[in-house]
This record gives sequence, structure tokens and C-alpha cells, in this order.
Amino acid sequence: MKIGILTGGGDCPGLNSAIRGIVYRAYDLGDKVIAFEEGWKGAVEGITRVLTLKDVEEIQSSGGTIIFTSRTNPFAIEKGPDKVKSNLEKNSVDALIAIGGDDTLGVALKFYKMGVPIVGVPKTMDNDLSGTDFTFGFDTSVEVAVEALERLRDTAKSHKRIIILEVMGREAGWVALYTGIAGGADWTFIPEEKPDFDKMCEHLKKIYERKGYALVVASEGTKLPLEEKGEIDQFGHRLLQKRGVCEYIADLISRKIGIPTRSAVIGHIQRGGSPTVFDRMIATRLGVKAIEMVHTGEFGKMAAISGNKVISVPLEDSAGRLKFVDSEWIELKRIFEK
Amino acid sequence: MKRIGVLTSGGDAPGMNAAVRNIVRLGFSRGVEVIGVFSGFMGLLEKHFRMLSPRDVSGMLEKGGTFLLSSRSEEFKLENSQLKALENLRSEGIEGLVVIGGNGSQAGSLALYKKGFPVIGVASTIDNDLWGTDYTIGFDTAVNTAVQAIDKIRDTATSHQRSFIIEVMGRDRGFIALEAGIASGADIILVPEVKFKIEKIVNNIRSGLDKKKKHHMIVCAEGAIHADELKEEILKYIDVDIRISVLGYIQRGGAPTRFDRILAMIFGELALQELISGNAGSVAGIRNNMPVLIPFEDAVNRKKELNYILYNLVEELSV
Repeated sequence: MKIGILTGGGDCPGLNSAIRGIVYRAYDLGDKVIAFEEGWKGAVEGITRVLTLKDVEEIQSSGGTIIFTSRTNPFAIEKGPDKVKSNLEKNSVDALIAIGGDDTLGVALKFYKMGVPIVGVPKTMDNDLSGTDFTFGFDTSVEVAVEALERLRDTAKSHKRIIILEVMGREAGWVALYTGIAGGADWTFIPEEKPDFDKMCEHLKKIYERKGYALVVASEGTKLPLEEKGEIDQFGHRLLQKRGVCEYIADLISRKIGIPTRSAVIGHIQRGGSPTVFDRMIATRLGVKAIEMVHTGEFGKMAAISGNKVISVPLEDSAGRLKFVDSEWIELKRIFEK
Repeated sequence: MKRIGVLTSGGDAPGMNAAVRNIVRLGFSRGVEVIGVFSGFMGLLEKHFRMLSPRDVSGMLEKGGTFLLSSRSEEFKLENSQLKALENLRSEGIEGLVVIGGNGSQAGSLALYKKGFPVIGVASTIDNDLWGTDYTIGFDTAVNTAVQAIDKIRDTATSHQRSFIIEVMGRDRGFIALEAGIASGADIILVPEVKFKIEKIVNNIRSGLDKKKKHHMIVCAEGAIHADELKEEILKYIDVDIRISVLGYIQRGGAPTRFDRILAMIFGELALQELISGNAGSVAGIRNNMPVLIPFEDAVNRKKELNYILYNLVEELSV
């Protein structure tokens, strides 16, 4: 068989491990793998490259994606879907594997409904995809965020300050939650909870008296009482970097309780870097499974992690439905806000 | 000299704790009591003193920040404050003082020294902008942290074929930007010491695009231009996908590298021994891999040169 693959959306650590898993398993089954470069953009414009074992040897440890990515949505481009279909035909592609988050898999589902044999591989560093217990990229990015928080602790302590760390997570607060609990933050903001700034200030005052410093973690998607303005990308997401969540909170704290407060945004550092062993293993297993799903004809589905097993679930169950931080996790978070 | 004080001042730097630890332990072995002065020069005014035993500094070698706390005291510039500090030191029987910090902090050291008190400095700032020493404690760790961050950003830049502007610390100097930029293979490095033209940067990006180079990594020092302003300037000339990342305070903390720990040992030992021998009035540093003493006047007033030989290689390397 000839199998096309692409990576879409934001890059995250583990994409290369998944690509390697796909190419290695395809080799066993006598398949040829062809990459559409730059995500759906490559599928629309017909930018292709054949992947052999030689191309993917040793890539499991590198961050990013060797076949590039973009935030292109083919359904937002005139005749985009037709162009994708004709490029698949032109390259005699028997099946397509789309590796990506909610947006990429949403597009995959639409193509499946139009008759394209397609299999999904979920990725997102935000860990907010339904249908799978874990997505690769999350573990690495939280590791980076916790390390950053620990560095900030050194300065906060030395100068008797409060420092706010803004981490990624547009809709769901998994990154902030894990960073806050594992890194020992005194207060954590997640998009799922309406922020209570008065309560936070009161709490930080108490913490500051006891410890002489305090650390706050805030998700970039924290809902601020501000009018939202900003550019919107092709999937309708607001580009978040202009909102300055941490600056807003830092300013509020220093005005309300008069303790010197600084802020830091982790931003793009959180995306890259060599994947952790956990992410490499998840990504590799999902990549291998995707090829097997092509051979068993499980189209319109994605490879997923359930407990410690790799399974396949309908794209329909995942696309458009995010996995949010629920009350059980919020209770856990509260235990450490003392 | 039977009893000395030690304080950390200015921005915290990884390795400050290691320096304090070494001074305390070597002091113990050489029969000198070491008193920790908390919150920098402010601690001298508030008599925030505590005896440090060798056990008090256990586990401090690898800790970032400074457990002695730090401050940037404006009040200490006043003559009255300085006299008060001397009075407080003498009333506690403290005969000498070690000040761990950058050039701003050593100005405080100089003021006390001029009033006849034995003070010695230890060169420590992540900015590396202290004249007379090749390196200061904390710089190596901060640069390594910046390089690691830029390496991670490069993954995204390559995957999305997108350019990045990364703003690093350094106050009004470009030492961090230069070394972090060179070590992470930046295409363009902007430092406050060298004037730059936006047109030249834009041409650089254009010719790169012509050569099918799809992403550019620009490292700028916070003292040269802020990343968001630079992005705006570039976008006036050319339509490219460009993102920014301000590394900020993450660069300050973390466990010191082996290099900074070794400096903390060399500088700490030198400072202590000089103070015991009655040779105060200078900052402990390193030049050509040999310990050196830099007179306070020079450390405070002279401007350290950037390594222009290194700087001039950047353009040639970015092909």
C-alpha cells in the first residue's frame, strides 16, 4: 500500500517518534510512506516527500517535526478539499494518516465523511483531547514548565517577591494544573474556573507572611475580566499571546496588596525540546497502531491510549470535544493552595 | 581578623549560595567566624545578622538564588546610612566584610571601604558586565539556560518554518545575548554596544529567503531593543511569519553549572584569604584562568569590552 502522512497544528515533542513508528511498521508490512509537508498545506499544494527508514533513523529523540507543520485549514481555502483529494489520487495514496490535535482531526473526520480512507493520530501538548487518556507532548512540556517554575522560585525567594508564570493551555488547564501541583505553586489559575482575584490576594498575603515569597501559575486561557480583542486564526482561535494574562495578574497583585510582583511567560520554549521517554513511548505506539489500523481498514478512527493499552476510537468521539479539568482534579489542586 | 560578615546584593545569580558556603567553611577551617548579613546592604542598616556554621550551609552548593536574600538599596547611597552600617558592623565585632554582587553592588563596597572598613568583593552577576574579570559567578548558568531555551524554540521554528526573535537579559550590556546567540547558532544578534539598522536586518532576512532559508533566529539583548518593538519594525518592511519569545526571569534561577561552582570556590577562597591577610579594597575575579584582584574603583567605573572578534563572526556564519 501507499500511505500518506502529515502533521498539522502546533508542533510538539513526540511527533518525530510517531513518524518513526509509522515508517518502521510500514516497512514490515511492505508499505510505502509519503509525507505531505507542512500539514494540510502540503496536501492542498501537493508538496510531498517519500520517507524511508534512512530518513527516520534516530529522529525519535528530536523535538519538532521533520515533515513540517502549519495551521492551514483546507476547508477555509477555496477548492481546498478538492485539491487535497486530487493530490491524494495523483500520488496514488491508498490511505492517509493525519497526526494532529483537535483541528487537524476535525478536518480528518470531514475528509472521512467525504470518502477518504483516513486514520488519525492524536497529539497535543495541552492534553485536552477526548477519547484518549494521554497525548504525547504533554509530559515533555509540563517537565519544561516545572523546571521553569523551579528557577523562578530561586529569584522569588532571594528578592522576597511574588512571581507569576504563564503557561500554555488555551481552553483546558492541564498544563497549569500539573505545573502548579508538581512544581509547588501557591495558587493556580485554569480556564475551567472563574478566577477569584480577591481570594487569591488574601491567600497570597498569608503565604507571603509565612514563606517570604509566593509563586502563581496561570494558564494562558485564564478568563480575565477584559474585553477580548485579538487576531483570529483560520480555525477561529484567538491568538492568545497579546492578552498578557500574567502581566494583568502581576499588576493586580502589586496594586492590591503592595507586594513586589514579577511575571514570566514560558511561551514557545514549552513546545520544543527532546521528548521525554514517556512521550516517545506513547508516540511510537500510536504511530505503529495507525499503520495496523490502515491494514485492518479501521478508517474514520484514531489510535488512542486507554489505561495502558493502545486502542482505536471513532474520530467522531474525539473531534470537537475537549477534555477539561474536572472537579476531582480541582479538589486535588485546592489541597495545595494553603 | 576573627569575625567577618558576608552579604549578597543586587540581582540574584546562580552560584551565590555556593560562594557563601565556601567562605563559611573555609573561614571555619581558618579560624574566622562568618556572620551572614541578610537582604544585602539593607541588612547592615537593620542589623539583620546571623552566625553561619558549616552545617548551616549544607546543600547550598547546588541551590540557585541566594539564601542570604538580596536587595537593591537606594537608601544605602546616603552618607548617613553608610555611617550607620559601619556602626552596626563594629558593634557586632565584625572586622571585615565580603560583598557578593555585580558592579552596582561593588559601588556600595567602595563607599564602605573609603570610610576605612575592610571590604572585599566577589564578582557575581548573570550579566557578566564587571570590568577586570573574564567571567562573573552566574553568567555561565544563565547563558546555558538561554541556550537550552533557544534550542527548544528552534524545533518550533523549523517545524513551522517561522522566524523567531528571542529577547534575553543583560540590562544595558550584551554579554548574555552574544554568547547565547553564538552558542545557539543565531543568525542575527543585537547588542546595545553595536548600533544596528533595521534595513540591514531586513536585507539579511530577504537574502536568506532567496537562498531558501525558511527561518531566522534573532537573539536580542533587552538593552538593545525589545522583541515586540523589533518585530513591529521588521514587519514594516517585509511580510514574514515572525514570533517573539522573552526569556525573562527564567534565566536567573536554577542550579549553577560546574563552571559557576568552580568560580564560587576560586573567588570565595581568594576573597577570604585577602581579607584575613589585610588586603581589602578589591573584587575577586578571574583573568586568563588565573585568580585576580580588581581594585574597587576599576570594577565600579571602567567599562568592560564586549568580545568584538566573536561578534563579527556572526554575520559570516549565517549563510
